[in-house]
Amino acid sequence: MFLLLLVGLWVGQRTYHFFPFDKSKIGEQIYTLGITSSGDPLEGRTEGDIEFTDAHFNCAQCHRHSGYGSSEGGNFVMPITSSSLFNPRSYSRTDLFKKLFTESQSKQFWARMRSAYQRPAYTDVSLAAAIREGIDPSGRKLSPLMPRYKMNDTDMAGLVSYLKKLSSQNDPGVDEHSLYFATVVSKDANVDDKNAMLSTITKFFEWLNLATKGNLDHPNYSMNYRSDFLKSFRNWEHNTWELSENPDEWPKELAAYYEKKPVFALVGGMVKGDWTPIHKFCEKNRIPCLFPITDLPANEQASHYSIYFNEGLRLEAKTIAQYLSKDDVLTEPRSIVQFYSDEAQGEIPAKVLEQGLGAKKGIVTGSIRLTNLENFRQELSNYLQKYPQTDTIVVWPGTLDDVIMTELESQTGSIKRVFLPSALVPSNLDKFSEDLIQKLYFSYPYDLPSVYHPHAFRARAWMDTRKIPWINPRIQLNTYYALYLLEYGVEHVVEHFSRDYLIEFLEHEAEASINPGVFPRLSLGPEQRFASKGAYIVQLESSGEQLIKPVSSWIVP
Amino acid sequence: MLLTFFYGVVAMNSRYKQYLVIGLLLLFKEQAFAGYLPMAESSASTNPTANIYSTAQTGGEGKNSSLYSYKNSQATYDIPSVQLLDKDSKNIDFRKLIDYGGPVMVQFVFATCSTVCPILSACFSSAQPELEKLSGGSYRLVSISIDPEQDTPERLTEYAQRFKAGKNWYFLTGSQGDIAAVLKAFSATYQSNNKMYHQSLTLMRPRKDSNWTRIEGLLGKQDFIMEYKKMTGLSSQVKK
Repeated sequence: MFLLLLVGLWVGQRTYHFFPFDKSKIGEQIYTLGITSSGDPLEGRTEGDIEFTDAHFNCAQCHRHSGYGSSEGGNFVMPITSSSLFNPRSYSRTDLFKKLFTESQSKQFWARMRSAYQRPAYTDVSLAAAIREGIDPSGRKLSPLMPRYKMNDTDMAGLVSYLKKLSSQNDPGVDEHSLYFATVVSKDANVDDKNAMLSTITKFFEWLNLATKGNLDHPNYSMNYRSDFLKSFRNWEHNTWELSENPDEWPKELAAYYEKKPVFALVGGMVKGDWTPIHKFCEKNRIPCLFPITDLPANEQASHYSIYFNEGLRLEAKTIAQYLSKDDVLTEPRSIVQFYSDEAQGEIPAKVLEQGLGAKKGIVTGSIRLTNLENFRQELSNYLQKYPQTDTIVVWPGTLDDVIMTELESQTGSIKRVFLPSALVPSNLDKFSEDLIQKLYFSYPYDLPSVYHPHAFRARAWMDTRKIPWINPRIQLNTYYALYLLEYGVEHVVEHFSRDYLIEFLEHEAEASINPGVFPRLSLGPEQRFASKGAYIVQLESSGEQLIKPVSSWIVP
Repeated sequence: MLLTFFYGVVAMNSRYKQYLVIGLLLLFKEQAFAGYLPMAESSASTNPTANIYSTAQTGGEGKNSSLYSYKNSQATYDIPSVQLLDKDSKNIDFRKLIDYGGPVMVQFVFATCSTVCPILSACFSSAQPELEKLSGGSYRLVSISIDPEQDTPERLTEYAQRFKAGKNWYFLTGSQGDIAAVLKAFSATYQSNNKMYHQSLTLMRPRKDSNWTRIEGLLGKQDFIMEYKKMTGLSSQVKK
């Protein structure tokens, strides 16, 4: 009886679809993860005879999440968005222009971009033939780079259903005239640093909008170039989303700002403490969150929409750990103690350092949590009395950073050496004794001041021409880099306002963009989320031209 | 008609004759200077000390060959003496690794590469069993990361596992400077210093001191095996 009921339900569902089922969910899984409805990885063949069973050979790998395709190593991967697949093949001069004249690519790439052959729109059947056999609706064979997949009918229906929706409309945060951006700051973030960042952003938006207005006001001044792009020009509108001092309230506050006026992307940003709540908001709402100024980016593996300059204090802790366990001049065994403040800026790097050193035998470590300066004074003094052989102290002072140096000066006689985060590198050495100067080591995730960057002058000249006061050069140059890359990315997505497409373009071009010189290199790649990956260990130099000197090579932990 | 043109030219003012000659040269410059002017693509793609005979391999989409042509040339390279790091974090003397005496195949890849590198590595991966048979277990596959700061030994280990790399397949990373030296030595540098513009390259050499076969483009498994056989002389032995 029960079996009969089941069979009846099955027949009913097949015939009348009582329970609506969104096939495109399976399609999305296949497209982005390469996992079929049965949970198996995709199977197929590429380059003629290379067989694979590998989820990495999913559609998003080459055609990217947006479906707008990609280019790499002289190979052009066609767009497979809904409108490009389900319409006859057509050419947009504006799309081609940027690809042909800005990217450095091989002749093969150029030829493929300009290839004149046409094809009719795909149907469900012809798309299945392309995916399984590599034949397009005009009967031509697709590039062997495009895998020929073994796919059952259920999976194929799901994938086709997903492709019919792929990038079929613009993402939120854009209308006919404007593109909307915001910058998140917290009330308690350093006022000067916030001003440094926000004044750069404001001037950049003013400058860009003036140029856009000029182009829109004179639509016919260039028949063959800029006038083609008029449809993609938008006024950039910027809002500052100021958050309270309570991170627990941030998700609600962010949601309220977004509901009031959705933005296409967040650019820059600065809060006191951990950036994770903003990161989570961006991931949840699929909003690009580009280059916030933060020491504590989120530590989430599966993030897609947030891009950072570096891993912040986690990177600094890893660098110190690697230096102490591999590159240090001292001989083993050693005794290391770290003191950390009881807040995210202290606890997070302390944990990372402990993990980094934990794997190395022969290093004795201790970790002491601090609540205030008095507590640090007492704990440091007690520890050094109890363990006078301690050769290395690491301090993660968090918001105690202003007073910690004074305290170290007062106990310098019993200290052998101290490692500190880069935020504590002083701007001058007047307050410090020579004895302490010799004992201080810093992680330094920036380029050395003596290094010349050929394109840095462009960023500096832009700032000087706009008469923006130099409040915090590092923050301002980083903000300029973020804005310059964003402008470049938006220019290249033309009128396809897809957030994924924008991110894909930034990944592709970050390395070729101008480096204003804060970091030795800024480089991304598909799904890479930290543009700078290493740090130096430096000491102070009281007698040289520069304030700091490296005592390690560029360490990439 | 040609005769009329000839008489017209003879009767023409000498200044117009100059213009005509310049115009004709511009129209037919490729034929006029054939063999004298190096074409940009060949000079850019190979080591100046090397080569140069080029053969383009093209197949239809037969079961064993690639649809696209790949360019195949001979070259010699000076292997730089740099210390690189393998996927097990061991220091590797790059020159020693390459100059070990037997057949060696080199590719430049990076682990987050989405389009080209997985195909290059899949080609190495799929060819392993046949290489094992052909070489009697004496061969080396070398994948060098062009994104060394991202591709730590741990990430290269994951990448190697994905492609089921055997014991003869080496995955190398290193400092940015050392990797740049290797890229330069193999004429594998890319424009704008952007790794996304890297070339699809496979370099192979049968033994120390012999020429390298430089393959530009993507290969199928049988293409790769065929090139290996050609390089090692196995294909001529088979024909005999």
